[in-house]
Amino acid sequence: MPFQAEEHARIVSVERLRPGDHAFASYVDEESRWATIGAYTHAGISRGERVLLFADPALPETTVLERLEAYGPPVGFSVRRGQLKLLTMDRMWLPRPLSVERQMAGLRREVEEALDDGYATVRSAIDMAWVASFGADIEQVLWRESEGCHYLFRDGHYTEICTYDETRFSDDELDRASAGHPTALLQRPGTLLAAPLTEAADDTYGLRLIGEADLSTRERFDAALRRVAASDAPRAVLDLTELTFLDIYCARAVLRLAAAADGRRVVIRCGGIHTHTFLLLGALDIPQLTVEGE
Amino acid sequence: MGPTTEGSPDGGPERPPGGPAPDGPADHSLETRFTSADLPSLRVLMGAYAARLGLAGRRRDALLLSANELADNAIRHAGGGGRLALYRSGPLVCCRVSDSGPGFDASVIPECAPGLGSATGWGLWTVRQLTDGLEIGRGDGGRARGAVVTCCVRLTHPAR
Repeated sequence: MPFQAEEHARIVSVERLRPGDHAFASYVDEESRWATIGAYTHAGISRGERVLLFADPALPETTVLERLEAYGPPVGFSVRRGQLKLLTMDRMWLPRPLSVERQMAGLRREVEEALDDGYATVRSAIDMAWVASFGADIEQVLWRESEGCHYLFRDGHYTEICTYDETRFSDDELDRASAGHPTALLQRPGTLLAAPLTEAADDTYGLRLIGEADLSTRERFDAALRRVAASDAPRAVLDLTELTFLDIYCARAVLRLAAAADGRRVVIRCGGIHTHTFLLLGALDIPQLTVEGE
Repeated sequence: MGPTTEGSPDGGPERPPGGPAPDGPADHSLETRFTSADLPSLRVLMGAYAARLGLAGRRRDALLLSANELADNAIRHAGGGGRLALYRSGPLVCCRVSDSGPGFDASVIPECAPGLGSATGWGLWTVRQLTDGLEIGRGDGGRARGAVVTCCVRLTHPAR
């Protein structure tokens, strides 16, 4: 069966990654490749973390910097002061031959060095193009991904994303790599996924939305709301806690759905700015609606 | 009324060792064109610049939601795109969106919240509630002079 990037049990956007997360990501073109690495790198810089970037070893540093700067402000100063380190994976084991143990020891040294330098947390982005560049054994790499690296994440100081080119790894390798990571990332900004809410009670129709609800995903968003409206359960739950962006049109569409739901309860789970937006737009005037948020 | 909750659930930006980046103002200002295809990546870009300009948590989210609304308006009503600038002005972080559509003035923004059934008026009304300032002006183009819409959010710790 062809690899499906969206089938992971825990799929989140880059923004939702937290220290201790180890996430799989895949890309199909240069845009999705750099949108993930760019957003992740800039989020790390903004949060004051040390960022270790293992980009495709075939790319010169000037190209890497240029790509990064398409997704945020210039990073020159971050590089000069050592907050952002551009690395290649062979530096983890050289001058000795490649082994998983040496690779892991090298990564651990980088994490410890960052903590010694005063950073509270460290994140790395690893473009898996290094596997072909340095002739690594894919079986060893997949073992490392699923079993050989848990200790790095245990104390909650370290976050890692591993980005796989879907055109350079087989479907089987991608499936195993994805399953070996506790978390997977949405493939690009502007993605919206809808999944059934598994813990929903018998009298409830529940839907969980993941990603971003805006002009680019509006049709998908409206279709998800139509599924809720069409269900005849006495209670509908819309879990928006994994939605990282909700525009005003989509927030209003949710409230219109709730206002039209005569005789049934509607629960919206959300947080942060989304709660604020629903309240501004009149959520309190809809008696059958409950907004569960901060 | 601006957003009232400070900081972000994830703790907002911590300062890296060595203090804040002393990069020049050019590093802090964003100016870019956009079309409908760019909205999601435009938000990534704006989010990174807004953080560099010192916004975090709910204030950063309010600016991004407002900026998205201004860009969305330009895409839908003014020819599919426009220009967006994000910059610091004293204690404010501002987003300016300019387009080459027919233009409009502030009278289109309702004083009170429109009813849920109302198809128009919500976007800019919400932007006004979410931010610390909203200005609507005319562009300097030809017959279709376009609109220049600017919204601003106040920094809570502007001394950087």
